[in-house]
Amino acid sequence: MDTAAWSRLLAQADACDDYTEMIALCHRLKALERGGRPEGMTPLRLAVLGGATTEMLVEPLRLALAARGIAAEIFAAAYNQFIPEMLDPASETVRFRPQAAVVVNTPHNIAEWPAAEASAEEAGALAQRVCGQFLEPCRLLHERTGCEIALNNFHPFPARPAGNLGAKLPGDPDNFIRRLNTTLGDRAPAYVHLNDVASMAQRRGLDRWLDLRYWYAAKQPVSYECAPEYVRNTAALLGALFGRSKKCLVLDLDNTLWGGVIGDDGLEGIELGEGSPAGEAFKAFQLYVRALRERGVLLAVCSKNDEGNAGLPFERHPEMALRRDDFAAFKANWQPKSQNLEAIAAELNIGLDSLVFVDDNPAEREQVRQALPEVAVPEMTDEPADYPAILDNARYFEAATLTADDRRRTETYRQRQAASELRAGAADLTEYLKSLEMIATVAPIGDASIERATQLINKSNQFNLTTRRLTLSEVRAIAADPGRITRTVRLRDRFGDHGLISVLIAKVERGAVVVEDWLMSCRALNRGVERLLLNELIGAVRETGAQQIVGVYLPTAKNGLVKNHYRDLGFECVEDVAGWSEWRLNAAEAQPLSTFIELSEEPRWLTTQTSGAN
Amino acid sequence: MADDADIGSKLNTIFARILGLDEVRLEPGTTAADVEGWDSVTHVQLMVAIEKEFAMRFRTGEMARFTNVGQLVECIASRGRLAPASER
Repeated sequence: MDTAAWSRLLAQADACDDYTEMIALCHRLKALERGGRPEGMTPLRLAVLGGATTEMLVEPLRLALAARGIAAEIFAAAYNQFIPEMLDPASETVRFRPQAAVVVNTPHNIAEWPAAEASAEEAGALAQRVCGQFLEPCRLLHERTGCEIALNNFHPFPARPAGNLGAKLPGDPDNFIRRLNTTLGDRAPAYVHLNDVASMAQRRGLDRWLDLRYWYAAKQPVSYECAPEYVRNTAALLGALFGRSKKCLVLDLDNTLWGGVIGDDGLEGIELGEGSPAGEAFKAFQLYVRALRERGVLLAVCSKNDEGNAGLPFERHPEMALRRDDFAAFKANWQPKSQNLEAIAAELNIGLDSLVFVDDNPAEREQVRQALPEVAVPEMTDEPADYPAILDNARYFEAATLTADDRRRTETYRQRQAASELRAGAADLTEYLKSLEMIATVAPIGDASIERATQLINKSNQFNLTTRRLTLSEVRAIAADPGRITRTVRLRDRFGDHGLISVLIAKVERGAVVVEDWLMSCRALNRGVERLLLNELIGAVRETGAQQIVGVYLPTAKNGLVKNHYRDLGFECVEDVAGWSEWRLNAAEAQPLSTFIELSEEPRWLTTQTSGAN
Repeated sequence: MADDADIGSKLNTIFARILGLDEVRLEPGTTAADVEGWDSVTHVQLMVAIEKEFAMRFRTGEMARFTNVGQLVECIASRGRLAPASER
């Protein structure tokens, strides 16, 4: 396999904005696939259902997914068959057993429109009904296949016969589409993910988004000029569902977060905030970055600077929107940036492919691209006013849901850093673990924890024994299965609440309990959580009457960390084939393992957590 | 008027690119049946690429009506980038 050709192709695919160029890249993808795919791509069975023609989108979508690390096998249903394909329990789509479905619907698929003189109440009631006409088939498909569904919302209506008056008329088609989009957003259930066509069409302009000639001639749902954007947006949305979003934004400082060079220009000399046009643009970028942090994106600094100089604006500049403690890692030194990025990834326990590196300096970007092709490096301009849009358009940080843990993430990473500083000072590991004053709650997966548990299942790469990815509905089915044992662990210590950090799923079989999934967030490494969880599992297994616990390790490019997980817990290896290994433990005879974690029966901080709402 | 040979060589390149072929040699009498992979889907993709290359817009009814390459070349010659502005 030609690894260099693959990474070249995937980088080009990620940046490609021209449909014809995309088609040429699709041919290259097919040619390269004949020699095998790179390791570590996530397989995905994807159905594409059209209210319009979708053939022209299928291969570009496969390409855009490949650029996000997903190897898609796509079934495309016939033209305008999306409703029957979802309703019919024996349709080809259902039999394909998709993990995800993309529905390419347009305003042409809206079956009922309000009368011109309709009141707001009438239009609102109709919007509810029309929403149901889209969401009900989605529900049926989801129930039958468990698939996640990307559904378009609607671009503005292309004609405005009522002119400006339409903005006041609930019965005006464009006015109605706005109402419909709001209703869809309010009503879409967790498994329906809105592909925000309305926002894309608005950003590009409707006259560019649509080319009606191609609608009349070939029922094409989006202009060829904008098709690449639609495809990349869809791939980003699916990528978030299957654990392929980026996790950390790494920022340069000088001329990236403020104008000028802090080491040369000093606190008074840099441009930031009111008083200079460029300063306002840098401030706006900082506010954008802060909004990313608030919804769970980790931030880090990677700057060629003296550490003292680099910290100065954070401590003393009145216009800084970002504070030092918004950053989970801070590297200001004279080492090559690639080295610092590796250090940041190691410190935060995330893969290099989870990093996005933003730097105004083309030479630094090039150095990182060459040294670390896994790191995403967007092409920046020298215009700070462009920065938020550049990151928006790259869609690195798409998220399927927003959990309270997301919003707290930087805090927990920082707590872990404080903990590692403490570790350096503690005499030995025992003293250190004791000093953490850890309290854990262990419970089956339940309504309150299912979203976070699913997110963890799909994001954990390193501490993950089998790396099995599951959708929310699959996890829900498992949690309800009496033949399954599920456990989640929440952990708190003297530095704060780490939230839900570990998930275990096991299946009760004849005389043995087989651990299907065992994974943990790396922020809880080396704490003894896995020992505690094994003790809990042994207790649960004894209740079933089973004798044996069976564990499996399936190696991936990223989970070498847990290669000896079962051995370290006292399991015996019964099989080891090419890195794949099976382990057994006699549950009846096993002694509980010692830990320094206090078990809390009552999740006493849970109540404050939900009402605190962060 | 645009030079037909020039248009022809550009079309060969576009067809090869869209259809994923090493080489395409179109003649005025070539039809979709003569070229591997030229179907209703790739036809639309070809139209898009041609519009971009020759900075022109096909009319709505026109794109499905070309029955051979000669008619396509004729249309490009009269309205494409190389045609006099008044005729586009």
